[in-house]
Amino acid sequence: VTAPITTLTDLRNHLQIAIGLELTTIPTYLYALYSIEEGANTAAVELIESVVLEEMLHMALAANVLNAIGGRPSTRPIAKLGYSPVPTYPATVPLIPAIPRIHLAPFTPKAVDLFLDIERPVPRKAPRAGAKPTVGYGSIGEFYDAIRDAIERLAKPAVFARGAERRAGCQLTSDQYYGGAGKLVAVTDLEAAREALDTIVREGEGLPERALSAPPSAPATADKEASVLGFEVDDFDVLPYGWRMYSHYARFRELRTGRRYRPGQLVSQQPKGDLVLVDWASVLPAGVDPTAAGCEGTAVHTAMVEANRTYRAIVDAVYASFDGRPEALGEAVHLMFALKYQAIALMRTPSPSDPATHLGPGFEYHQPAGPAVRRGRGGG
Amino acid sequence: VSADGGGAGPDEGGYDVVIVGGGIAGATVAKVLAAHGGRRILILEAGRATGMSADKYRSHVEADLASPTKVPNAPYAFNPNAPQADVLDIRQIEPPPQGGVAPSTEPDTSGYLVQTGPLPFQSDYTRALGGTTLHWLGTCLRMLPNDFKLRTLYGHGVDWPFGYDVLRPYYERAETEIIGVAGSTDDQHYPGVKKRSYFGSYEYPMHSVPPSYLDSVLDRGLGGHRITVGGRHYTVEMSNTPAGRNSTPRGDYTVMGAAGNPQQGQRCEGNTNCIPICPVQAKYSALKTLYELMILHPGDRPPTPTRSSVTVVSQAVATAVELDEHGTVRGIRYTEYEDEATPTPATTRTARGTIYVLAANAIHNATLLLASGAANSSGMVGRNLMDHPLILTWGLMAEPVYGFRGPLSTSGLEMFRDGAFRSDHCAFRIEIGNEGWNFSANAPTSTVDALVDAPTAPLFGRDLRRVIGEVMPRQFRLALEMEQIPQASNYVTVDGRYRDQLGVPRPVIRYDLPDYVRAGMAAAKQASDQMYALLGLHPLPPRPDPDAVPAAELFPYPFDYTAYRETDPGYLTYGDQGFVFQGAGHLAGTHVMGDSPRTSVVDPRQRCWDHDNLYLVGCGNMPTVGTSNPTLTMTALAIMAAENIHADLGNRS
Repeated sequence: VTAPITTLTDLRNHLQIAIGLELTTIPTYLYALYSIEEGANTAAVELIESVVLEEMLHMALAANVLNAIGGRPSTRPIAKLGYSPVPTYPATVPLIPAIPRIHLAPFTPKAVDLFLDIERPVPRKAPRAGAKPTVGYGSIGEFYDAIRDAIERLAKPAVFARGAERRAGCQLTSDQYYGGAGKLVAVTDLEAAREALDTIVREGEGLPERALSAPPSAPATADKEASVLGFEVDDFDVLPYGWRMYSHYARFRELRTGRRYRPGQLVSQQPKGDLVLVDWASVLPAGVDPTAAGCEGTAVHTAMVEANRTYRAIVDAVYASFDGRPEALGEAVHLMFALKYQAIALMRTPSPSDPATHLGPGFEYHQPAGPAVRRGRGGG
Repeated sequence: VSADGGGAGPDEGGYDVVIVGGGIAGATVAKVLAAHGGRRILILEAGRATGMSADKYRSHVEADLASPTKVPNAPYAFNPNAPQADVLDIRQIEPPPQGGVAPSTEPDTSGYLVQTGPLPFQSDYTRALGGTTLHWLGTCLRMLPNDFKLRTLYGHGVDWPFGYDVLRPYYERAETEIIGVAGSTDDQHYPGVKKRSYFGSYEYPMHSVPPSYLDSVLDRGLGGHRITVGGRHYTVEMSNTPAGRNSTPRGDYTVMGAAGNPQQGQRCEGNTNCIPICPVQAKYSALKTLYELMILHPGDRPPTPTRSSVTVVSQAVATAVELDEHGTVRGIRYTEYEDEATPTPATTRTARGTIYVLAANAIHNATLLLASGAANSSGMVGRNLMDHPLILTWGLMAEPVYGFRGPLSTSGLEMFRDGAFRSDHCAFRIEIGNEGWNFSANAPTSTVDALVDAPTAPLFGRDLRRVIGEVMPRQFRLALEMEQIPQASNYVTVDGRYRDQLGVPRPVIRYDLPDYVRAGMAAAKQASDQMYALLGLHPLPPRPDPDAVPAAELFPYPFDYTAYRETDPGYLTYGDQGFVFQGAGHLAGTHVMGDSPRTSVVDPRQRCWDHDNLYLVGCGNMPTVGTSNPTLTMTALAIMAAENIHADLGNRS
C-alpha cells in the first residue's frame, strides 16, 4: 500500500530509484552468467544474456524518462530516503518490499529462484486475511504503474519542454543499444514516456497480474492490450528473423523447470514444451557476495580491488552517458569486456580463506578507501 | 522445417526452382525468388547443416579453439562424402618432364584436389550449409568501372557483357538486402573513381567498423607520401574497407545477429577471428539468409501468394544434371548420405522442378556440368579458373601496433587497382592485415615456439613474457592481391580415375600464372619495399641464427622480415626475383558469362546458352575478377539472375 506520487520531485526520486533498481539486477545476473564454465549450458547462457541485456536497456530507458522531465540521473544517494542508486551486495530495493535481498551468487537453482522472485509479476505469498497491509509496492510492475500514473498526472507538456531544454543532449537513442530485444527510444513527450515504461514492464514481468489466470484463447494480434491476455508468455518483442521473446519471468521459469513453454501456454502454468538442458555441475563455485575487504592481506586482494575499480568505471561511464556524453557508453563497452575477463579469472581462483569456494567480483562501487594498490610487479 | 533433411527427400517434381548449393549464391537466389511469394523452392546442400542452430554453430567454434593451426577450414570437419579442398594439403607440384609441355603424368593427389601443376592451386573452400561464407573475411568492395572493360582499355583479359552501371543497383541490394555491409562512401578512395557517379546518393546500411590502431599508425607513416612504381608516381591513401560485419545501423536498418540467436553478434566484437570463424556471427554468413528463409518461408507449409516454401535438404550431393533429347534439364540426380562410414549407406534420388540453378562454387559447378556432359558446347566449362593470387610482406614495426584487436582487416590501399599500368602488369590491391604474423607465419604460436624451443638460451617465465610483449605487438603484414586474368589453359576438369567415396569425380586442376600477373607481383613488392622504407623498416640482414644467438635476440626490430623460400609450395619466379604466392579463396571464372555461345557458358542473363531452364550462379560466371574480393559482386549477380528466373517463371505459367 502506498500513497500516490504527488510532486515532480517525488516522481524524479522514483525514477532515480528505478534506474538504481535496474542497475541492481545487472550484477546479480552477470555473476551467475560468468560463473558458468566456458562452453557449458549454452541455453542458460543465452537466456541470462538476453535478460541482462534488457536490464541494461531498462536502465537507459528509465534514465531517458528522468532526463525528459528535467531530472538529472546521479549516483549520489537520495538524501530523503538514504538510498544509494548504486547498491552494495546483498542489496535491498527501497519501496518494493516484495523483492527479496539481492545477492551475488553463482548459477544454482537457488539463484534462479531469486531471479524469479525479482521478476515475479505478483508477490509470492498472498497476504493472510486480516493481516496488516505491507507498506510499499507489491512488485516491480506495481512500482512502475505508480510512476506511469504520476507521469500522466504531473508531466504536463511544459515539464517535457523544460526537460528538453535543461537536459539537452542527454537522451540515449537506439544507436547506443543493441544485442537485446526492445528499443531504446528517446523520450521527449508523454507518449514516448509511456512507451519506455511499458517496455520495461512488458519485458520484465511480461504481463499484468490479471493475465496470469486468463484463458489461452485469443491469438496474438497487433493490439498489445487486447492480446496480452491471450498470448501470455510472449512479451511482444519481435527480433530479427521474426524471433519472439518471452518475459524475463517466463524465461527464468523455463530455466528453473528445465522445459520450454509451448506457444500459447499461460505463464502461471508449468512449462510443457521442449527440454532445456541445464548442467548445474558445470559451474564455477564462486562465493556469495564476495568483498575485497574479505581478501585483505592476501595475494588476491589486488585482483579483487581491480575488478571493483573496473565496475566503478563502468557505472561512472554509464551515468556520464546519461549526462550528455552518449559516447561514454561506447567506452563502457570496453570496460564491460574487461570486467568479464576479470570476473572469470577471479571465479577460477580459489579463495585464500576457503579453497573450496572461489573468488568473484564484488561489484563494490563504494569500495572502502583502503591502502593504495601496488602497481607493477608482484602484488603478493 | 528441418535443415537436416529428416526422412525421405523429394523424389518428384513440383518445385518451381531447384537450387544446387546452400551457400551465399543459392541462398540469395532463394531469398529473392521467395520474396515474390507463391514459389516452391528446393535447396540441395552437399555438406552438413551443422551451423544452423546457435549451439551447433558453437561446435564449429570449439573445433577452431582446439585446432593448433588456424587455417580457414580448421572449424569445419572434413567430410568424406562431401570432401573439400584444404590449404594444408598444398604441395609443390613436380615440374613437367624436361622439355615437355604437357602437365606431369603424376599429379599431386595427396589432398582432395588432384593437382597437375605446374603451380599448385592454393585456395580452399568449405562444403557445409553456409558454404565458404562460413570463413570468408567479409570484405565487400565493389568492382571498379574499368574492371568491366579490361580488354578494350588495356588489351588484356576480356570485357564483361555489361558495365558497372548495370550492376550498380544490384550491388546496393546485395549490400542492404542480403549481406548487410558496414562502410562509409566518404571513406572509399579508388583511383579514377568519382563518388557521385560510383555511389550516387547511396549510403551503406551500417556505419564503418572503426579502423584498427595499426591503420592509424600506417596512415601516420605513409598517408600522403609518394611512391614510384615502374616509373609512375602514386600517392598513398588509406581507404576504409566496407565489410559484411555488423556495426551501428544507419536509419531504420535492422541488424541481423546470429542465426538461431539474433541477440548475439549485433556488433563486431573485435575477436580478430573473421577467418576461420566469427565466434559471435557478427560477420555475415549465408546461414543468416537461410535461417531467415526457414522462418519466413517454411518448407513444410504450402506457399501462399505472399509466402513461398523453401526446403533445404542437406547431405545431398548432386551427381548429375539430367537432360532430355532437346537439351532441357529434367532433374538433378543426387546422393543422400547419412553417416561417414565406408562404404556409406546412400540413396539416389532425383529432384525435379521447372528451372534449375547450379549454385555450388566455381570448381564444383564446373565438375558437375562436366560429369553430366552439360552446358559445354563452347568447351569453356572448367576453363578460365581464376583466383586472387597474393603475396605477403611482413615486418616488425618500430613501435607497437597492437594487432589482434578488431577485425582481421579494416583498411586497404587501393591506388593500384586501376591505371595505365594495367597494359603492362596486373592490377593489385593491398590489404592491411590486423593479425600480426598469423597469415605469414602462423603467429602467435610460431613466435612463442621459436622463443621457448630455441637451441640457445631459450626463454621462459618473466623473460619470455617480456620478449613476447616486445615482439608480438610489433608484428604486422600486408597482403598484395593480384588480379588474375582469364586463361583457357587454367582449368578444372574431371578424370574417371579420381573419385571420392561416393563415386563423385574429384576436381582435377591445371594451374599456372602468366607473366602479366608475375609482373604485378614484382610491382607490388616494389611498392611494399618503399612503404616499409617510409616506415623505417629496412630488409632484415640474414635472419639471426638460433644456434648462435640467444632466443631473446631472434626478433630484432624495426625490420622488414619478408622472405620467400624456394621450398614453399607457392614459390615462383619472375626474372631473377622469387616470390611465394598464396590463394585468396576466390575461386572464379569456370563457366564465364559472355555475349557469344562460342566463348562463354552463360549468357548475360546468366542462363546457359545450351539449356533454357538451367541457370548458373556464383563467381564462376565472372568474366574477369578485378581486384575486389568477389563475394559481393557474385551476390549482386545472383540477385540479377534471380530476377531473370522470376521473369522466366512468369512467362512459363
